[in-house]
Amino acid sequence: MTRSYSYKRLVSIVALALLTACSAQQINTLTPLNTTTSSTLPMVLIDDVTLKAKNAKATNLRAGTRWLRVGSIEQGDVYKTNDQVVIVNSFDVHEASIVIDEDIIVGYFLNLEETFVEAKPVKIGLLREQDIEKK
Amino acid sequence: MRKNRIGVIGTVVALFLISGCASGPSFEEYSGTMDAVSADNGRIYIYRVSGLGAAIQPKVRINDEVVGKAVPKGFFYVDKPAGQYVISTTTEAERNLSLGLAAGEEKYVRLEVKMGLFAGHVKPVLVDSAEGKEELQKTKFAGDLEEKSGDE
Repeated sequence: MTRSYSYKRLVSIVALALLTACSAQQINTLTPLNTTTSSTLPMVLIDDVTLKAKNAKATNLRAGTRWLRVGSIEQGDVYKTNDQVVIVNSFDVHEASIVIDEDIIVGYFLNLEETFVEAKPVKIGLLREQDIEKK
Repeated sequence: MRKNRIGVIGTVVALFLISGCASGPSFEEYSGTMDAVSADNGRIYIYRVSGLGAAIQPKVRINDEVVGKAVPKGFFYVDKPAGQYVISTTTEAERNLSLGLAAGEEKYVRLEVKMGLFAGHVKPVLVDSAEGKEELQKTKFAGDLEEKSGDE
């Protein structure tokens, strides 16, 4: 009787722990990309930045990487780079772009799934590549 | 007597672990024989550096087509037309990686072994090309067609 009670208690604790882990859900929104038709100039990231979505590993965006605006979604402008890998690394892994609203990165855009993934907002500095060359 | 027994057990375990690893030519040797990727295709390198969980070697699929096996310390590569792909492995759970591939582009996918409830999971993760090129040096070719048809 006592043994059975202890076992049930243990199972309840484990179940509660698992449910608690699920409470911080990643916020994903299906949103089609409005691709840009005009050619845009690459922008260069000035400082290293760490981007983090819930239930995913952080992504380090490196200073000096070049970013091209490929379109926009409701949450902001979508920028892509060929200078480093950008992924949302949670249970599954998704190649992604970043979404910038004004001068703040607000999340990721999953390229294949066309889905916005909210991240902790990070203020960034971007300069036009040609302006850096002039300096 | 006891030391002997421990030695025998150690040897058996070591042999078991080694037998699960890739045994083909090293990446350095094999890369010299690889054709250049054609103009309208991109290339995806898929490799597993870790020998951990050597008994777990699931098939690797690209858009549901079996392209290889997750052999410890092994690599293989697949050439595909430009497009969007999902790379997946299945043990007790399916793990997916979605990525885009451009013509002439090379992508590097590391297969990482993760803890599961009853069996380990093999998770495909896209890595930077510099990291992928460096890690491939530690692997051997494991792209034999016979290996693909093995058990999951």
